[in-house]
Formats: sequence, structure tokens, C-alpha cells
Amino acid sequence: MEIFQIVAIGIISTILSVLIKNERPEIGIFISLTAGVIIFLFIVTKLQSVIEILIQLANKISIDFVYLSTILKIVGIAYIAEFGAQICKDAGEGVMASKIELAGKILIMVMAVPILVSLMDLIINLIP
Amino acid sequence: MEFLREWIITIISTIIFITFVEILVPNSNHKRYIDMVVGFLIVIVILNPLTNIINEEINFEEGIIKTSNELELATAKNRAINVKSNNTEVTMKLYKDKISKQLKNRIEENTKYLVEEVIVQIEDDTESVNFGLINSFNITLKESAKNKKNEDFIETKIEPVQINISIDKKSNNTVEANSILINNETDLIKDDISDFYNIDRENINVHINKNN
Repeated sequence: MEIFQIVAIGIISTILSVLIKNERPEIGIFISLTAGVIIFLFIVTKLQSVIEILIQLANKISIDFVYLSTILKIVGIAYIAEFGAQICKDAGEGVMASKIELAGKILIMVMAVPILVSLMDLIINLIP
Repeated sequence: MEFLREWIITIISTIIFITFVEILVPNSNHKRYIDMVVGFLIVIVILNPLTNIINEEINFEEGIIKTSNELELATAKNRAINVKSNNTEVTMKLYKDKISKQLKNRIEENTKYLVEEVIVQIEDDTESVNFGLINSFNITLKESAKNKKNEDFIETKIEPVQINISIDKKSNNTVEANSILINNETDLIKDDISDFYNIDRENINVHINKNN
């Protein structure tokens, strides 16, 4: 079961970082960063298979692939921005974290613009 | 009936799919934006078949790809413009540095002055035909310490020559020779620079800071 490994890594890195925080607070950040990356690598293969199955499902029903890929891209952007922002917040750099979140929001907006435009087209076409 | 069946299946499967995706969404303030996009998608999926009844079919995939390509194109254009202006700026700076270095070496080799500062003005309008031509030079010179010593040495031997050209005894029209020499010197420097770089003499300013 992978969840045991992941929880073990999480708990061990938490204990290490708490122990070391009084002596060398800057190393604590590295520990949490490494643990985050390791946990992400553990689940990334699982996530990949889930997304492949979702794409197969979407091909069976008649949803356009563009919608699916847009939603998945947006979720990915949100995840990565959240990951970066949390690490910055942990290190006490709230300003940097809010900048990362701003960048994430703008990228999500860029992804959303094509959908918004096609919705507007649809509505304009519907009204005679 | 077939049309209705397909419509309902599409709506339900879209909603199931979106519920599934929402599990993946992190609990952050990005959730609002994702919800907004998902809402747009659901509206599109619901309204899409209605266009078949009223109008001819709209190709959404094509429209979305077209709009995102337009966005990419605009971004790439903006980036290209930024890179171009950065490049021009860096090149201009390098060009000015090279010219002022060359000028400094030339003056220091040919004369006994040290160059303190050279300000080069260059035609920086990239559209202009004269782009890159030198407009003017502002040169500040300093007497070198070595030179100063020599002068002191000379001065101990030779008294400063004074030329008295006053006819009327009341007006003392004395000119010191040293300053005449310096004026000559700036003229020589100006001539040299204007010959070498092919600039008008009026656009070259030479100032000399004297040590004493």
C-alpha cells in the first residue's frame, strides 16, 4: 500500500524539520521541499493512469476533447501553483506566495478565454 | 427521440466527469476560477444541441483552438518585441562603451591628459536612416599627475610668460601663456576627433579640469 509509504515519508520529514528548526531553520525548508517532491513523484504515475482512463471515457461519450484537456490543464496549473505557494508560505515569504498565486490565476484565465469566446459565439448564434 | 437521448447522455456524462475532476482540485482560492470555467463548459454542453435546431452546427473545437492560437500568437509577438528592444538597448550600450574606450585610448596616447568621463550621444531611433551615427561627444579631461610634475619642473625654471597688449596703461589686458596653450590643446583634440570620427567640430565639447 503506497499510502503507508507516503504517510511515513511525511511524518519522518515533519519530525526532522521540527527537530532541526531550532538549530538551522533554513534546512527545514529544504526538507519539506524534498518531501513534497518525493510524495508527488509517488502519486504521479497513479494520476497518469487515472487521467488516461478519463480520456478514454471522454472519447466514448461525445464530449469534445478540447473541453477535457482544458479542464485538466487548469487543474494542473492550480495544483502546481498551490504547491509552490505553500512552500513559499512555509518559508515565511507570503509576498512570493501571493505572486505565484497571481500567476496561476492569470494562466487559468488565459486557458478560460477560448471557452468564454466560444460561449459568447454560441449565445449570439442562438439569438436570432 | 435519438436526438434527445444523445443530448441527455452528454449532459449527464459531462456532469459526472466534472464531479470526478473536482475531487482532484486542491482546496485553494483557485477553486473559484476552476468552478467558473466548469460552469461555462456545462452551459456550452447544454446549449450546443439547440444550435442544431435553430442554426447550422458550430464547430466548438475549431473555435477554441482558433482563439487559443490567436492568444499564443499575440503572446509570442509581445515577447518578440520585448526581446528586440532589449537587444537594441544592450547593443547600443556596448557600442557606446566601445566608442568611449577607443576615444579614451586615443586621447591618452596622443596627449598628456587623463580622460575622466566621455559622454557619447548616438542616433538611437531604429527607424532612422542615420541609426548608429554619433551625434556628439562630451569629454572631460584631467591633467595627469605625471604631467603636473613636469609642469612644476618647468615652472621652476621658466617664469610664466605674460603678454601685455594693453595700449592704455589703466586697463591691464594680461593673458597668461599657460591658458593659451590649453585652449590650443582642446582645439587639437577636437580636430583630431572630428577627423577620426567625421563629426562636426561644434558637436565636440572638451572640458579640462585643472589640478591646481
